[in-house]
Amino acid sequence: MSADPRIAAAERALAEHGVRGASVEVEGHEREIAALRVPDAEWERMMGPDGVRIAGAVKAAGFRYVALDLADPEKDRLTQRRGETERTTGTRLP
Amino acid sequence: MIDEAKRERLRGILRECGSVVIGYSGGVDSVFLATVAVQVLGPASVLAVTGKSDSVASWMEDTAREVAGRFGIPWLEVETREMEDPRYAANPSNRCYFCKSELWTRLADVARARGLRTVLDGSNADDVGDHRPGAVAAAENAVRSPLLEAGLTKAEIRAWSRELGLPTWDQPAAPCLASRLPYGIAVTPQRLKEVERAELALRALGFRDFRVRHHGGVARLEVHPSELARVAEHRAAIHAAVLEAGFRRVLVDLQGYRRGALNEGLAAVQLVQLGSAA
Repeated sequence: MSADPRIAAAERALAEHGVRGASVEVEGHEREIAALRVPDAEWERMMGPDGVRIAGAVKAAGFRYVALDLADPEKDRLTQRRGETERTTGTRLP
Repeated sequence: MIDEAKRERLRGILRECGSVVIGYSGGVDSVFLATVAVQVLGPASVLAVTGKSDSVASWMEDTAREVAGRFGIPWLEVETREMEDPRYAANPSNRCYFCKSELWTRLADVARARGLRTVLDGSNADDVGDHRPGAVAAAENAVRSPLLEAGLTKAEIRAWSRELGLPTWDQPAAPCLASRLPYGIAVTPQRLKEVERAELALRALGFRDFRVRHHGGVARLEVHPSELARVAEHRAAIHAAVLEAGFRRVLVDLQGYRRGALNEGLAAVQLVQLGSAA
C-alpha cells in the first residue's frame, strides 16, 4: 500500500509554519484525523493561537481534525527499553 | 438583562399548558424550565422526568436528582431503551431522532397515566439552526418548547437561572454521551462507559468545558481554548487517565472544543435544523 499523500503535504505545512521535528500519522475510522507528534519545545506554541493557524494549514492537506498526540516519546522509549530488559533478564524492574 | 415581555410570555405559555411533564436532563435549560413551571403552576401540576440509560452521564443524573430535591421539583426517573434499537446503535446522522422518539413516547405515556396535559422540552431560541433531528420526534409527539416559544436565549436563561439561585446557571452544555461518537461508529455501552470514565478523569483534573470524542480506540480531546494551555501542564496525567479509561491513543484537538464539531463532516443535505423540523 502506498503512503497517504496527505501525510507529506501535512508535514510540509508544519515545516512552513516553522514546526521542526514533527511527524504525522493518520487516525480515525474515516482516516479523518491528522495525529501529530511534535518535540516538547513546540508544545506551548501548539496549544495557543498559533496552533489554530497551524491546524488550518494541516487541514488543507485533506483532514477534518488535527490533533496532537499526548504520548511522551521519550517516556515511551524508556518503557520500551524497560520491557526489553525485563524480557532479556527475566527480572521485573520497579 | 432579560426582557420583561419574554418573562411574561414564558409564564403565559406555562399557564396555557395547564399541567406538564418536562423532559428533565439536569442541564441548564430543563432545570430552569422545571423551576419556573413549579413557580407558575405549583408542584402538583409539574413532573420532571429524567430518562435513564447508558448514554446519560452519571453526574448529570446526580445533578438532576439533587436540584429537584433542593428546589421542590417533583421528579421521576424512567428507563429508556434506545440502546436496544439497532437504528440508534448504528449511529447514523439522525441518531437523536431514535433516542428522542423513545424518550418522548415514554414521557407521553407518563403524562397520560398521571393526567398531566402537556409534555415540554427545554429547547431555546439559540438552538434554532442547529442540527437537531430529535426535534422531529418532539414534533411527532406534540412536545412543546416554551423557552423557544418565548424567545429566550441561552444567555437569558443563564441570567434568570442565576437570579433564581440555580446551581446550573453556569454549567457548561452537556449533551448525552453518544454525542461523543462520530456518526458511523456504533454506540455501545462499553464505548459510552469509556467516554464517561475519561471525562470524569478530566473533570477531576479541573477541566470544565471539553469533550472526549471516541474515534474507535482513539480519544480526541476537545478542550475549550481558554483551558488548552493547561493541557500541556497536565499532559502526563491526562494521558495516563484516558488510557486507563480504555483508549489506546490520546490526542488533543488543536482547534479546541467547539459545539457540533462532529457535524463538520456532514453534508448540508444530512442536517436537520430546529425550526425546519415540523
